[in-house]
Amino acid sequence: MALSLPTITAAIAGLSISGVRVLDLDDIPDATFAPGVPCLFPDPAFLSSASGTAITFRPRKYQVERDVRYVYLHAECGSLRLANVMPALVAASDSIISALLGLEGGNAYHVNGVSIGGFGALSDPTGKQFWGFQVTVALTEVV
Amino acid sequence: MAATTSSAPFVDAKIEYASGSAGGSWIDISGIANSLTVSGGEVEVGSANTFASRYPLLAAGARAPIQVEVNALWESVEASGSYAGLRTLADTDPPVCRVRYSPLGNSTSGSSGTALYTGDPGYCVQLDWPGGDASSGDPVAVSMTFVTPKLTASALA
Repeated sequence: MALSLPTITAAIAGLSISGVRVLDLDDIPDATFAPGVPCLFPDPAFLSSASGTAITFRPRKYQVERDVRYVYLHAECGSLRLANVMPALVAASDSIISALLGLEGGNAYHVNGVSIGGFGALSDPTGKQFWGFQVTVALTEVV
Repeated sequence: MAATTSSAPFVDAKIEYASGSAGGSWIDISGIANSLTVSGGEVEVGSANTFASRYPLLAAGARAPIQVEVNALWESVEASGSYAGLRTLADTDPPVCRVRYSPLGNSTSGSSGTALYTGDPGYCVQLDWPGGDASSGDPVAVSMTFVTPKLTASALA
């Protein structure tokens, strides 16, 4: 079995999350426009950490721990009242965390945890401000 | 003395066991094992003092048995594989077996002539049942302990 982040990102992109478009690595937006949101996509700083440790003698197996980052953009700042945006943003965080924790990788990978950070105003690749948050998915793989 | 040129890490170790006391059919568990610790074998030393000296008289007795502890990965397939075989051994009464290991036994650059440590017939005195917790993605690990009267060093063929 080989390491395959594209397999994992494809599985994440295949998640059905109500009201959220989930994008794969080859769909990372260069510029995110309001009609494209709400949208969860791989952060350009996608792989935030990776480490591998040998867990057997020969034939050797390795345990690989990786954190991958996504960005969720909900609505452009100023396009809606914050009082309207915030409940939907919180609900989206619930849905995204639930969906990611429910991802079943079988023997290929295991979702070890999901964390949310940067809750609030985020910039898209063009510098435009959106309400959203960052999502970090902690993965364990054995190869 | 010149610095050694033959020291080595333990990453290429080969660990084997054989059920029964003959040791003819060695089973390689290197593919699930990830650490090995050897302890025991100390000589029992007795001492007594006399009025004639401030220092004790010593006498050497028997040696303690040697424990070979191996940490390994549990395997999910029960029908075959090393854990299942170890389970069968550990559940046998008594669990007679032999154990041997070679620090460079799996070296890709060749192991001939390197050290092999072979235990006399002893017992597999403990093998963990698998356990874990739901929050971890780590492979399930188990440990086992073999006890042998002594280890004999030789060179791998």
